[in-house]
Amino acid sequence: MSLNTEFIYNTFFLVLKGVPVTFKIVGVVLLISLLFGFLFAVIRTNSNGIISKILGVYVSFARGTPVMVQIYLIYTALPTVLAPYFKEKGIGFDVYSIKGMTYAYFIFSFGMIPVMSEMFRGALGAIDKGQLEAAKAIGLSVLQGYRRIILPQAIVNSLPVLCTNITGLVKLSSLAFAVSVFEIMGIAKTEGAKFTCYVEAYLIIAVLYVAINLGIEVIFKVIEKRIRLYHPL
Amino acid sequence: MRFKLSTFFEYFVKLLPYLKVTFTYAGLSLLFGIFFGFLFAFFKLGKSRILRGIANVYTAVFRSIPPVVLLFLVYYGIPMVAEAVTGNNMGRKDPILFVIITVTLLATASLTEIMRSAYKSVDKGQYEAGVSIGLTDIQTFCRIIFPQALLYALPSLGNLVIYLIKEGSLGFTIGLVDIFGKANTLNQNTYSNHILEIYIALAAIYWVVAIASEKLLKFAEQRVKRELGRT
Repeated sequence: MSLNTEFIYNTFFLVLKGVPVTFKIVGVVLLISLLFGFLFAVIRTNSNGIISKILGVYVSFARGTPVMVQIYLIYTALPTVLAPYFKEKGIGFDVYSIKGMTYAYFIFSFGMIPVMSEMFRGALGAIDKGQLEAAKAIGLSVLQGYRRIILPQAIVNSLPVLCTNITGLVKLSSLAFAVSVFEIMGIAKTEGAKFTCYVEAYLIIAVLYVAINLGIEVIFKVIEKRIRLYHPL
Repeated sequence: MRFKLSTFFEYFVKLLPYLKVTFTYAGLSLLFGIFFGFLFAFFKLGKSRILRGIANVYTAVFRSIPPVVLLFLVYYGIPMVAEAVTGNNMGRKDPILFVIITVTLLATASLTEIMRSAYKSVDKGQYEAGVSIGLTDIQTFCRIIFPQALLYALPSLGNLVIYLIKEGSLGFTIGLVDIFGKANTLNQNTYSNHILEIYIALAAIYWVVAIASEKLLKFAEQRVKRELGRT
């Protein structure tokens, strides 16, 4: 059994070009999902109205269906149905002009928001209700109370799960090749197919992904250690 | 938007039989994963530094690798390794074999962590109490520690089952004919005329399975809690 080492050497640098794309996807989706996830978690924790129930259905759907199915629905099925509909109504918007990257952002955010929302729900649940009441009692508005008292505690509480979620997001980004985005996996696939050196190609990116995720875990361990000085985790 | 409810139900029924494939690889992977996960958890909690190191490296790698990458690595790599070892061509193998191997590898890593943390959550006094009334190590484990650890592990287990089903759906990329693969075939055969109905039916099946798993998990939790004698 011999591995094509020349291919490994050449492809490694080609694959590295996909790393910024992966980080872009992870970064944008992280921002969006943290924002909306926190919002939804606050809504679901504090109320039980119809919005809460709708969000519950959304979370259930996004957690129960595979990402690939979501990709096929939004990326493949929806445009083929929307295009003739738009033509009928005379809307000049070309559904096929949306870039793959936009789909990646949208679909991955769609899947990640519930995950972050569940994480924040757990974190918020661990915070005593009296904290917000005390904040109101000393005259802070609800928004101020959240910003100064609740949010810091929520962030600290959710750090371990956040690490898992971010590594999960990195692994999720490997599916972006299905929406024609050329990140790490996409490049490896094309290069491997070009030279039929599939094993070498996937071996490289396996090592790369493991290295990235282990790096993220190390960073979080350092952060958690620092926080532990001020706050029992 | 063209969406006929009748065609939706038609495809829903057409796809259902292929759930058998999904449950097959999920069930087998879970079984193997529990076996190896228990082994690795045992290594991790043991005294031997070498065994602990092996188990740690295993979980670190297989929790960090994206499932797609692992799937392709297994699909292209295992035949290559097998050829080198036995010297003869393996020929075309059923994709489900590779899916089972991949999902088992991933499940083992998760299960190691689940079992390890569940075991650690049980109070050490339980073990001491068991031993002090005359039970052997193994008896203490089976009768006292294991049921309590199971209760701690159940939520994560439920999550894992849903995760396995979702990740195994990627098997369509190597030609596995489970519900996803069949949906793709049906879509190609009908020239994407019913694309929306097919994939919504597919999503609906997965969703129903996920909700059913959650209900099953809650039921299992109640039963175990009752067996342990606490609410």
